[in-house]
Amino acid sequence: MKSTLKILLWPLWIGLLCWPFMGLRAAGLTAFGLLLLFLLFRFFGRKIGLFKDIFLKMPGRELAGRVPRKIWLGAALLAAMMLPLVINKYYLDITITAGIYIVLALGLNIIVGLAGLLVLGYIAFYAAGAYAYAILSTQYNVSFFAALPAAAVLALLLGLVLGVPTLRLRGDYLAIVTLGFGEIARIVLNNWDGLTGGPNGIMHIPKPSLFGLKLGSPVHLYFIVLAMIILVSFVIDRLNNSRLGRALVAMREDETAARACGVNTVKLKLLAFSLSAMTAGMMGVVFAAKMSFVSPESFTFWESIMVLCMVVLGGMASIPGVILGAAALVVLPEIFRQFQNYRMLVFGAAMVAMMIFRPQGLLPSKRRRLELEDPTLPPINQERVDITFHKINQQSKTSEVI
Amino acid sequence: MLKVTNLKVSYGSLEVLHGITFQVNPGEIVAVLGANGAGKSTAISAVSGILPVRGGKIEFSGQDITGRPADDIVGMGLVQVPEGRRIFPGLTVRENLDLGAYLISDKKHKQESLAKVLDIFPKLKERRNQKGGTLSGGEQQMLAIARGLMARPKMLLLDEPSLGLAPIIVDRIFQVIQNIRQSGATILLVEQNAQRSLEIADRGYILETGNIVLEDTGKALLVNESVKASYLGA
Repeated sequence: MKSTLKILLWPLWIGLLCWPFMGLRAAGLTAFGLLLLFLLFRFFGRKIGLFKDIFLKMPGRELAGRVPRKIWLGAALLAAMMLPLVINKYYLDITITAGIYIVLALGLNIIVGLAGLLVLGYIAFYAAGAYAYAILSTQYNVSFFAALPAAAVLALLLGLVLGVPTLRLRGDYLAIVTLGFGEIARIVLNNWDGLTGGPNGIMHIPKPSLFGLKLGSPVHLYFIVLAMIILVSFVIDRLNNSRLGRALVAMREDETAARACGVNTVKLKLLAFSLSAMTAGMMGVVFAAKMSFVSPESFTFWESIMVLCMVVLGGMASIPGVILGAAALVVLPEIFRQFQNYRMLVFGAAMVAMMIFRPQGLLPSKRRRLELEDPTLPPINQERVDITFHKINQQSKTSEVI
Repeated sequence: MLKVTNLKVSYGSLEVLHGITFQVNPGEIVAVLGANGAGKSTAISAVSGILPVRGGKIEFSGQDITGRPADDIVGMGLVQVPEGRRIFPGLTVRENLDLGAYLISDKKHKQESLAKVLDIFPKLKERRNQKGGTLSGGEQQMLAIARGLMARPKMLLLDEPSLGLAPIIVDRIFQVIQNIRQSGATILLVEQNAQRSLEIADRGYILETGNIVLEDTGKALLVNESVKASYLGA
């Protein structure tokens, strides 16, 4: 009953939202279309459930589950290597953009997903990297591969400057401070004419080259981005399975308890923060090299929000999730181009729907899944009488505990 | 072993502890009793470096640890088991215990601690691959204590270990506390359950709105008229 009501109310609400700019007729049609879609989904949803059962019981799936992770990863890598051969220039360009965002999202995921700190000015580190390469290459002839570590160090320093005073803040306060930081960075870039060229930005940034070998073609860039994705994924995966990774989870779940265990939470937050910042800094270099032009317009607050959406949409703390989320948020708007003005509306509606129906993200990490949806987690101070304790007590009258 | 002199702690401009003085000698169980809001948990968190200290001095094993960071203090062997069963619900029992030994880098050392702790809490051994959040309340409290023991503490600070647990489990918790003392650790116990605490405590302090108002042996406090009236419900 309740779900039926929901199905009726949802399209109505969206229709009301669309009314002001679509007109009554179009909004009504949209609402009606959505209603039909929901009803269809509800009707076939049960059948989909049936298909799912059959699918789960298929012998092929058993087999697929037995294939080791390494082979899956190898196959994915091979497919990624072959990709430039089969797609045209336009799609390759979108793929490179998606790749850059994937690395950015993976980097932000370290601080948001693993450490559990909401940072909103992330794009400032990306901007720092991009401008570092722009200035170093156009004025001092520094090469792409020398600028990569330089940008990483610069972003790291910026991260420390921001992190040392602010990481003692929690939740909302940290979000607001970093938001301010992101805006300050953009405004500085916009006004420091002597160094950054102000709103005009910096043009004629050289393409990457290695020992005189030009690596400027889109295919080369594609492989540079792919290498970055692999590198960052590898680092995060290692981090996740280490002592530090567990300490990060502990800190995210209960900071006080983590401190009581001897975890230096300030250091740990700084570590996560600097790793994030360095990743963004390096990607800034790649971005500047790809575009051969940088201006403050590329580093607005909106970009920070987009990257954050990628992390949340894909599934916090999950590497495949974040990759999928970033890819989806770059590719989908391209597909939605035909909707023109409504593109962002569709995008917004999709985000709202995601947060309601699948708050844990598309491919959540195992741990996050448990934190978010496991109903068996008891609230911390709930009174619970454990029957098994009584039983054990009655069976063995030992004075041993539990 | 632990000597706290004139300890003052504030939250913002609100002073919660107005200069309390107490000490714990090696091998003792010392209970700090008081009503809700008396400042018991504040005192314990200040000692373990989780809350900043406004004034006074804290000495542990003859060293001044006032204002030292929490991880240093844990490293010195003064370990807090926080109030309210604060285990990590998304980590397995085993991972929770590993985090207890976060500062111990020697693997063999860690293994020994783990074996010893699982020996004290056989139920945790059974559940070692289960997520902490799926344990019952009593088991969670046991896990919290076990996690504290993983750091090989010289002294354990227990913050309301019996809070919100069924009486039969409270019995077991207090049994464990005595076992831990027998194994050589010193214990500072902060509790609302005055009766049970004083039964096992060598000495006790009564904390009232940020001041220590009474200090005596556990036995003496159990029969003290004012303690009886205020805390023992007799």
